[in-house]
Amino acid sequence: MQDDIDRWMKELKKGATKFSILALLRDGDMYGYELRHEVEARTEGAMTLTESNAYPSLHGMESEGLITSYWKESGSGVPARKYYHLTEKGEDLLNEMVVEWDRYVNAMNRIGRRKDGNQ
Amino acid sequence: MEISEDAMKMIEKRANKILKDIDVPESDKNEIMRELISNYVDASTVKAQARGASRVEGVDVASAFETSSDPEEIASMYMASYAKSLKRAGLLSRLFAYAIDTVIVTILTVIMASPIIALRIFTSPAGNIRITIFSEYFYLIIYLNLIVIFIYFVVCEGFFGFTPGKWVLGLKVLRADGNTAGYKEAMLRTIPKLFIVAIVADAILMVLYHGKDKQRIFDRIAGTIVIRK
Repeated sequence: MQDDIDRWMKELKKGATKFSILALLRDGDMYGYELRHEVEARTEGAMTLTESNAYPSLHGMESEGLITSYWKESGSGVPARKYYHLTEKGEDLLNEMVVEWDRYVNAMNRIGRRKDGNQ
Repeated sequence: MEISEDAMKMIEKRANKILKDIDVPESDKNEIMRELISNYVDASTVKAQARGASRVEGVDVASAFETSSDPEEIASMYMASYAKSLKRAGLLSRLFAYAIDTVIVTILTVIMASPIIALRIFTSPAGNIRITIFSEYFYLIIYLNLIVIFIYFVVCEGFFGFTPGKWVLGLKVLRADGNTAGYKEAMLRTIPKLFIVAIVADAILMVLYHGKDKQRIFDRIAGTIVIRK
């Protein structure tokens, strides 16, 4: 049972990675670890962005033109960090995603509930 | 925050382990390397802060690695993210590569068939050394040729991802998800190469129907793509 749920959640989260990254970058430029940390903090641990999810997705999104990147020194012996910036194209996509996401969640909620309204 | 030499070495080792399985241009590799190192430094710094230390040590790195993704998984996901942007090799370059490979395979077959030919020479009446079409020797050489073709393509593509012909043209066989192809994939996509009619038909169908993906039908079956570096 737990395995089934885990597998299902994994599928669900796959689609959520792109959405969360775009949404977080709307608030300002961020570097990879910061994005990962923010996702976890804002969802109170319900969602995590693993390295294997985050960095390859960021690369893919950059080649799609949804985000751009630049290196910035952070000083004090820490290596430079790669920051990501939301492009106009990325913002347009995000706006559409938000609409579709709401529609989808509502639809799923209506299906998930029993017809007589009981849980 | 400061970071100890040991800690940095561990991080670099981890990043190198991931990079080993990522087959992309050198400049991209450097970017990925730097970003992964920066990620692990940040993750380890958080661990060091949590234990109240002012310097990142090996223990912090080890503890950051505990909750970190598998190196193989990261590499595989990176390759998948490249799959879409990889340049697919077209008919012409693949045809050239195939021509080179055919020459090599023919030479290999002749070398391996030489004992058969020699046997024919020694067992036939003086002066009659022709191997006539449809004779048993003719079939033997054909079968040998098929075995050489199969082993040559399957071993080269399954082990290296390319044959000598593909190497010359800068081509490589990958799984459709961007990861390295193995023997199973190599075997499936080699099948039509055993029958000249089949490989010609497969190539024609590729041009007619799968223009964008540049996959033969047997590439589809094997789940492979051919890319140009």
